[in-house]
Amino acid sequence: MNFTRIKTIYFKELVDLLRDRRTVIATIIVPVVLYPMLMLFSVQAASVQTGKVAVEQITLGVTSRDDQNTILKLLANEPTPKDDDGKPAKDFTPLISSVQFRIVDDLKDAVQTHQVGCGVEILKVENPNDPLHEQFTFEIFVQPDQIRSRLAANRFENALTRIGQSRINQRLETLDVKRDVIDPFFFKQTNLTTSGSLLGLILPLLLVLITLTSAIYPAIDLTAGERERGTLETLLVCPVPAGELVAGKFLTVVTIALMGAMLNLGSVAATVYFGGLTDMLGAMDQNAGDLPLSAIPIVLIALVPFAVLTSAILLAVCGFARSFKEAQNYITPVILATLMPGMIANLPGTQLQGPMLVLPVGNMVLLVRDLLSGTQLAGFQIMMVLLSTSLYAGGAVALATQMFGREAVMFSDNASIKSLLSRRMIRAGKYPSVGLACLYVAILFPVWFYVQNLLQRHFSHDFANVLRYTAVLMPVFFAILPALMLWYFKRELKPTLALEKAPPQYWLSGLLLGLSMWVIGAEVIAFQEYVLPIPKALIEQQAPMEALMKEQPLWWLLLVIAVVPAVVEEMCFRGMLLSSLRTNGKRWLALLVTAAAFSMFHFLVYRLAITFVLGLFLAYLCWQSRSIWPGVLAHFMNNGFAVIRAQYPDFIKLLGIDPTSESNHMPIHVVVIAVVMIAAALWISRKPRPDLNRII
Amino acid sequence: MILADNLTKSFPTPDGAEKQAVAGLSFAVEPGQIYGLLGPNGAGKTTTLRMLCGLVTPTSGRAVIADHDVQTDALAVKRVLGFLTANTGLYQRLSVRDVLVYFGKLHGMTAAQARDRADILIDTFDMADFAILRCGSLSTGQKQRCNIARALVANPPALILDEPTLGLDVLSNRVMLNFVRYQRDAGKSIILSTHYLDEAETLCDRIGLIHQGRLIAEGSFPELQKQSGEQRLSDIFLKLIHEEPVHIV
Repeated sequence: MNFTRIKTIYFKELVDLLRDRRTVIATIIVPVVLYPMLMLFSVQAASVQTGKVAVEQITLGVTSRDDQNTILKLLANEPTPKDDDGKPAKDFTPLISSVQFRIVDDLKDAVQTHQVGCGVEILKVENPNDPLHEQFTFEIFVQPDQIRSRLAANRFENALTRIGQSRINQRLETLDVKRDVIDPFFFKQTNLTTSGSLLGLILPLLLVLITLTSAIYPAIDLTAGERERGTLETLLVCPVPAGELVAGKFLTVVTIALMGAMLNLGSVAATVYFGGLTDMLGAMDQNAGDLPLSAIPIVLIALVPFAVLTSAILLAVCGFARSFKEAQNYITPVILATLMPGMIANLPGTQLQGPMLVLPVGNMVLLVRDLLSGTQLAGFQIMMVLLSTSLYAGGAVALATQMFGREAVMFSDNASIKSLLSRRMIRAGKYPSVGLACLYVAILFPVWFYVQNLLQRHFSHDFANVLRYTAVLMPVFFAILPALMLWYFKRELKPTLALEKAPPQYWLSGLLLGLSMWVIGAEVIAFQEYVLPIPKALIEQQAPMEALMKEQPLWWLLLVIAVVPAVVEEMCFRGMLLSSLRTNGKRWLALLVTAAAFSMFHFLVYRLAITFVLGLFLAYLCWQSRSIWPGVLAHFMNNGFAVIRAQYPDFIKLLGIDPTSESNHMPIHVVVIAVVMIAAALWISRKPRPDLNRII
Repeated sequence: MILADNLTKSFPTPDGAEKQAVAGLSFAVEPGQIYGLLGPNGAGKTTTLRMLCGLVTPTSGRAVIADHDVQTDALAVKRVLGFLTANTGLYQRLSVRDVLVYFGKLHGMTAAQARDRADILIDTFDMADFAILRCGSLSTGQKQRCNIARALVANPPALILDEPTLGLDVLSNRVMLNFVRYQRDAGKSIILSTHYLDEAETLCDRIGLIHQGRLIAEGSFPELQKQSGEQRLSDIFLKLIHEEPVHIV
C-alpha cells in the first residue's frame, strides 16, 4: 500500500465531490437547514395541535337528559387540585366550564362517527342522595386511537377521580377516620431518562439514515458515475493497484458520510437547545427531557464504524452498476436491508445483548440509543459492537476491492456480470484474493456467533451437548465450507490451506510452542486482570463447564476441545486467511490481521488478548513453515493442557505450580522456562521455508 | 516495443455461449514506429487495445510492452504506456492543470515534479489559455489536447491512441497529427486506431487490418497497395474482406 498515493486519490476525490452542487445539497444543506426546519415545524405543529385539543371544549355523549343532569351535578363539585407544594393549582380549569353534552340514541355510533368525544352511560346508581353510600357505575365509550376521543375520556375520568377523592375525604371525616388508614402506599416517581423518550427513539435511526444517505451520492459518483463519464478507464490505466484506488475512494465516502452525520447531529443539538425543541417536546410528552451534550462526542465516535460499514457496502454495490441510474436501483434494496435491522433494534424493550450484539446496523442503533439515554454499558458490549461492525466493514471493503475495475463489471453486459460467479469463467489461481478470504471470515463471524448462541439456548447450558455439536459444526464452517469455496473459485487447496508437510525444525518449533504457550497465555490473563478483571458472574457461568471437564472422559474432551479446533481453526485462519494475505508479501501485517481475526472469533473481550498473542505465534509458525501442521500440534497441546489441568489439577504440581495459589501469576521459574522455549521456537523457525511450487 | 502474441479474447453471450472478439492476433510495433490497427466497428480493435494495457485479461496469448508482460506485471506496463481512447474521459470538476498534476502524482511523481511536468505539457500543447478552467467547460478540441497531455504525463515509451482525432476541427486535427509524428520521431512505439483511413495512409509505418477478430492483412501502405492492386486504403480493405482469407504478410 502506498499511503501517499491513497492520500492523493482521497484529496482529489474530496475536492471533486465538494465542487459538485449535488454533494453540497445532500451533505450540507439538507442536514443543516432542511431537517431542523422539518423537525421544528412538525413538532411545533404537533404541539400546537395537542395543546389545542387539550384545552378545547369536549363533547360528551349521553343517552338521556337525566344522565346529563346527574353528570352536571357531579361536575359542579369538582375540587381544584393541589400542586406539589400543596397550594391550589393555578392553571386549572374545571371540566364543567369546557364540556358540552349531546343526547344520542347510540353512544357507540356517536363516538365512531365523531359526533361526540366520548360517550358516557350511567349504568347504575346505588343509594342515591346518601352522602355516605352513594355509588355510581359509569360506562365510557372511547376510541383510544383518536386523540380527541382519548383526551375527552381522560379529562372526564380525571374530573370524576378528583370528585371521588374529595367525596372519600368527606366520608372519612364524617366517620372520623384519617385518610392514612386507607392509603397504605404512596408513590413518588423519579424519571432517570437523560434523553427524551422521543429523541432517544428517533435520533439513533435518524443518524443511521443520515449517515447512509450522505454516503449514497458519493458512493455512486465515485464508482458508477466515474464509469459513466469514462474517467474510470482513465484511472485504471494508471499504475495504481485497485486496492489503493478503492482505499482512496472509500475514505472519501466515509468522510462525506461522517460529515453528513456530524452536521446533522450538530443541527439537531442546536435545534434542541436553541430552537426550543425541548420545550415543545416537553409539552407533548413529559419524558421528552434533554439531549445530553456529553453524549454527542461518544455518539459521533460510535458512528465512525457504522459510516465505514455503510460506505464499504455502498461502494461494493455501486461498483457493480454501469450507470448512475442503475446504481440507484441497486441501492434501494440496500437501504431497506440496512434499515430493517435498525428498526428491529429500535423496537421498545430491545436490549444490547446476545444476538443483538452482532446484528449488523441493529447493534449500532442500540449502542447510540443507550449512549443517548445514559444507560450503563459494559466495556465488552461497546467493544463487541465496534469490533463486529469493523469486521463487517472490512468484509465489505474486501468485496469492493475485489469487484473494482473487474472487466466483467467495467466493460460488458449482464451476461458478463453473471459470469463473475460462473465457475466456468473463473480463472484458476494458487491463493485466494485477500478480498475473498476476508469476505468469508466477515460472513462467518455473525454466523458462528449465532450458531453458538443457538446451541447454548437449545441445550440450555447442557455443555456436553453444546461441545458435541460445536465439534460437529466447526469442521463444517471452518474447513469444509472454505474448502468448497476455494474449489469453486479454482484456488489450489493444498497450498492455500497450507496442508503441505513441514520439515522437522518447524515441528520442533511447534512442540516448543505447544509446551510453553499456555504459560504465556496464563501470564497475559494475569496481567489483564489488573486492567480488565473478569467479572465474577462470568466466572460463575463457566463453573458448569469446568464441572463437565472433570466428568467427561479425557479422550472425548481432547477430541472436541483440542483436536477439532486445532485442525479446523488452523485451516481457516492460518490456512486460508494467512495464505491470501501472503500474496501481499507483508509478513507482519498478515500476522497481525490473522491474529486479530482469530481472537475476535472467541467473542469474549476477556479472551481477546490471550487469543491474539497465541494467534500471533501460530501465524508466525505457519508463515515460516508454509504448513499448518506444526501449528496444529502447538494449538492441540495448548488446548490439551487446559483439559488435562481441569481433570488432573495436581498435574501442575509436577512443574512446581501450586494449584491452590491465590496469585494469578505463574512461578517465575516456569515463566522463564516458557520464555526460553518460545524464543527457541522462534529462533529455530527463523528461516522461512521457500515456496516449493515456485521453485519447481 | 509493443508485442501482441496470439492474443485471444472470448466473452460470454446472454444465451450462455461464448463469442470470440479477438482470435489469435499477433503483431509487433518497433520503437519509432506507428502501427495502424484498422478495421470496422466490432472488429475487435478496442478489445485488443484494452488487452494490451491490462484492462481486459486475454483468454489466451500474451502481450508485452517495453519488456513487461501485461499479465504478470500489469503495474509496470501501465508505467510505460500512455493510453488514450474515446472512452478515457476527464474529470469535469477539475481544471486542466489539476488533472495533469493528479495523474502525475498517480504515476509516482512528487507534487513539485507533477507541477513542473504539468507546466511543460501545458506549454507543449498550447493550453495556457484554458489551463485553469474546469474540464467540463472546455471545447472538444481543448478536451482532447488535455487528454493527450494526460496520457503523456509520465513520458511513456509506448503509446496507444484510439481515435485521437475523433470530433476535432481542422486546426486541432493538425496539432494532433503533428504530435503523433513528433512522438514517433522521439522513438516511441505507437499504436494508432482510427476510422479516418486517409490519416492512417499518411501517418502509419505499418498497418494491420483487422476483421472479425482476425488480422486479415499486415504491411506498409505501399506493400498493401501492391498486394491488393488497389490505391486507397478503404478499397484495399473492402477487397480483402470479400477475398478473405488473403495473407499479404
